[in-house]
Amino acid sequence: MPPVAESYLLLVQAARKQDMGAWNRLLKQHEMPLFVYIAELVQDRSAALDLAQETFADAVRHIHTLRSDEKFAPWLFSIGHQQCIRHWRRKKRENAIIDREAAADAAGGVDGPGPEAIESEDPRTTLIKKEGESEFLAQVGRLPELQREVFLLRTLEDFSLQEIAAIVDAPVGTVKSRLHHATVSLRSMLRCSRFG
Amino acid sequence: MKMTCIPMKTAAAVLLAHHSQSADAVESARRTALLESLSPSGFLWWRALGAELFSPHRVVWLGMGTVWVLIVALHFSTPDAGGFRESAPAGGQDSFALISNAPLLAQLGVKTDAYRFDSR
Repeated sequence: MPPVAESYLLLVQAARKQDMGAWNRLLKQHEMPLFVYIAELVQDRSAALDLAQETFADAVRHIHTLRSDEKFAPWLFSIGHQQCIRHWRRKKRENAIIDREAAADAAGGVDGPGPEAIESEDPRTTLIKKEGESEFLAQVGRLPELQREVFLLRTLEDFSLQEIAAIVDAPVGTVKSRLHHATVSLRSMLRCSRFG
Repeated sequence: MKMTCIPMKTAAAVLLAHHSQSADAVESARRTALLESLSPSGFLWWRALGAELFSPHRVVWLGMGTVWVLIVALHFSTPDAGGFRESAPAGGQDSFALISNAPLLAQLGVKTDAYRFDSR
């Protein structure tokens, strides 16, 4: 991330004192990138809204755990990341129950896209996906979760590799490798001219 | 077909534009979260106390707690050689009453060896 402005640090300091105005301004700066990050990870708009709200609430409650004011953005995204992990765990448990109940119905491959991805594949979406940007978005959605999260963090907030490593709780080398694979996958599908 | 890298800023713009219709909902989520977390009903005094008093000095608090636990553990783990914990010795008033009555007890034939030093 670029160097943090002094006014930003003042906002974080005011937020530590539970200043509503400071919190509003701070979160406003990051809310859309954070929401996009969560939405692209969980591939579910309403769940992403709930998770974003929980992330904001957790940030307010646990601001005292933020060690360095400059690291507010990576810290906020790490809370969002943890919310996504919790969401996946809940989903996994729910899916396991549904699978058990519908054991007789053997339709659907194990390695295919998740239930949310299948739901979103209506004919209209497929048609739009033929356009350049939609093709890119679809391809981002198809990236493996581990690659998708590092790609989104790098893209949306321009976090450094160290910051991404702290957010996703992985070594920097692993983050670098995941980012490389994500970029290669996207590059092989898309032409730069469409986004230049 | 020209194959080059995807400009990061453009990719971010595409992603943000794709989700722009959710901006109002996200703003509303932010407001709700802040109202719930910062309003007096949502503000829990014990959390604030923990944040202000415990968290900044948690090492000191934990250290003190550990010392107290050790003291209590050591106190109860040592053998009770004097038998003080099972039966407490007579208080000052009780002892005085016994000593005062020692001659009477002697007349009655009750052994008062324990208090002989007083009868001299």
